[in-house]
Amino acid sequence: MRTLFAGILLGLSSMVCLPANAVLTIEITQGEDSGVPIAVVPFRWHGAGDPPEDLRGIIAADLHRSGRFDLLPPGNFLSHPSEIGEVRYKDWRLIKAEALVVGRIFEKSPDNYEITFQLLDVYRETQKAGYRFNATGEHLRQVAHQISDHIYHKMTGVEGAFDTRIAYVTREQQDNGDRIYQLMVADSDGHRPQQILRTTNLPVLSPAWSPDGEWLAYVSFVDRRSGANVWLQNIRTGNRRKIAQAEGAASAPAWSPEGKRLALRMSYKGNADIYLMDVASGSIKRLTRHPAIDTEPAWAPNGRQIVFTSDRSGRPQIYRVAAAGGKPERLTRGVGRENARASYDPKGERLVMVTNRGNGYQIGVFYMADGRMDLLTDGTLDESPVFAPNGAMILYATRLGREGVLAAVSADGRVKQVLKLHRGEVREPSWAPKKN
Amino acid sequence: MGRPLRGFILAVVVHVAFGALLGVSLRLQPEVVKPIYAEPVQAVVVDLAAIAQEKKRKTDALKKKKAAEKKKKTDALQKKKAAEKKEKAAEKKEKAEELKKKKAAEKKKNAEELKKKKAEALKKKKAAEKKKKAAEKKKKAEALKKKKAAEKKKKAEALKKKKAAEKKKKEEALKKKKAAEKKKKAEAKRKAEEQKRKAEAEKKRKAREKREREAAERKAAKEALARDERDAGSALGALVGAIEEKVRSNWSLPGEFTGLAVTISVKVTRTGEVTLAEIVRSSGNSLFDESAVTALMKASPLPFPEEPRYYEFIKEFHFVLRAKN
Repeated sequence: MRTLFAGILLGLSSMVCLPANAVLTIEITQGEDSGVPIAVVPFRWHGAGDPPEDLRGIIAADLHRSGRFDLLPPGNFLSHPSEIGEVRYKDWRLIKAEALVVGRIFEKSPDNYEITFQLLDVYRETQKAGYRFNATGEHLRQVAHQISDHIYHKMTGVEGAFDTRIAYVTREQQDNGDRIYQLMVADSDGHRPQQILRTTNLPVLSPAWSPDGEWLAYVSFVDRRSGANVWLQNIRTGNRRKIAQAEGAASAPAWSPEGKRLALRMSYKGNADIYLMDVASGSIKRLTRHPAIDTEPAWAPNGRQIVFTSDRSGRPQIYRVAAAGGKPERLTRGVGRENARASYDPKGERLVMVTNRGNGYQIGVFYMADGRMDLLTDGTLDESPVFAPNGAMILYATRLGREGVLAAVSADGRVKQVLKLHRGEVREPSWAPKKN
Repeated sequence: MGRPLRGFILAVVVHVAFGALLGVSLRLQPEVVKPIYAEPVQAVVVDLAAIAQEKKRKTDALKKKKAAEKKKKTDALQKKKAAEKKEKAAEKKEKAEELKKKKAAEKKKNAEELKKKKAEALKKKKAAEKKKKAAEKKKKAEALKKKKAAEKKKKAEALKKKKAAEKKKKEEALKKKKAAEKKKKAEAKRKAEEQKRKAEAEKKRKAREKREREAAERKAAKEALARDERDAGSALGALVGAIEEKVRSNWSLPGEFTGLAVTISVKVTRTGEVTLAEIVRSSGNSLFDESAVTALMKASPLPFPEEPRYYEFIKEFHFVLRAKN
């Protein structure tokens, strides 16, 4: 008698008779994107006074920003366990949580904390992950980001990128009319900003992290008369050096994946083309040769291709050229009037870029395989997008009112969040690689 | 003797009387042939009063005549009756005297004869009685003797008869009893057999009824199944849609899993509680597989048929969850 239902295919919704001994089969296709419902219980504080950091708040914001999770509001929690032994799974199934995060902070001595957390599977009633950390108050935020990374990895199978840093440039107009430029480094959520470089009336542009996360390459001006130059600065020591002593302007540096070369735009004799520079020796090799403007190079993760922006067809579009040299091919066709500032995701499957469809500049994700592009944002002046090291998020510059701010959008475009940052104009973010 | 005379007189009287009656009737006859009243033809006038008067006059005349005749007759009859009476009285007197004389003579004669006869009769009677008494005495003795003998004989016979009867009665009773017992036994046997037969018949009947009932039940079950399949087909269309929607809304994917699909075997209780969600064909990605199983666990209880009979059709099924393309 089961034969009857053997194949009610959804969508058809009517009865279908199939051969004997078949089993009723219901088939569904994933519906609207929704995050995994997760409950993060406030960490229980065992110490004097108030807890030094709101770990729960940091973790919840991280998970939310990734777009992969729906954070259940703590007001709905029926209980507040701090470790697996205190958990009544029924409480969490009732609010439809699939995952539960519990933890506690012990103040072992002044400014010395022990933090534990457990990630629990509510339906299978098992522990998926559990770790203990020791940290000073200064590092509690980092511990929270590391916890977020563990959770993200366990839940999605993809490495987390919360415990990473970002670099960006700020511009501030002083009362006396001077413009102050700062190269800043901060946590991935924008907290704990740290100044790397400060200039007055000399713009700082295009910061780029070295693959080992030790160096930042950026464009700056020594003085008002000379052209732009590319500088390398060590993050920890603060040492810096000018690497391109070109006759024309150099800009838009991009590290090769192995960290030995930089791709640059150089304006040589008034024509902007893509060049490759050996970081150690400073030797330069020309990659493109075209009367139009070629700029904004980015390496494929395999190091064999470079994409760049060129207006050789009249308007800016994205082209790809072999790192070893060759004839560039145009990638973006029929996906926007103008496309620029492309960069790869960690797998080399997608490009994120600025696209103009006639109503301003938005962030789009371009799929190499089929030439399709998804629009992720809806601003009018969204720019400088860059993938997070795990490819799950994109950081970009946008405008909030009259201010330029940084924002993060999940790679599927579901969640956008403006990062809390420094006052003033913020632009040109770069996302540091994840340190192992 | 005066009797002939009297007879003569009587004869004359009777003759006269009859002659008078006869003479009247003889005289009437000519008057009918030659009616006296047929003459007045001229009196026939068309005068009703005259006719009525005439009629009255005729009637009065007739009346008068009839009255005169009646009177005449009555007078004659009375005269005659008086004469006859007188003659009868005389005759009666004479006869009475004669009868008186005759009776007296007969009385005297009868008395003498009676006296003589009586004496003889008495004498005869006495001798007869004597003789009779002796005879009776003898007869009595003999009768007594005879009676006694008869009684004795009778008694003996009665006794004999009685004994025989009793014997016979006893024998008959015994015989009867035996027969009754035999009959009783036969009856019991018959009853037992009857009972046995009845039991067998009942048994057969029950077996037949059971067969029929089972056949009917099988038929009903088959029909119910067919009906269920029809009803369930349409009911399940809606039901499956509801199940699909609930699972879909409970399915959260922690990433992009383009092109993946997982097949899960699902078992449910009558209230739709998922008791088993087992991967029968993996997508190759454990996270994707797990998320699908979780979706089914979260969706539990599934929207389930209120009618229990649908449960049969849907207590176990396969669920294919497919990622977006």
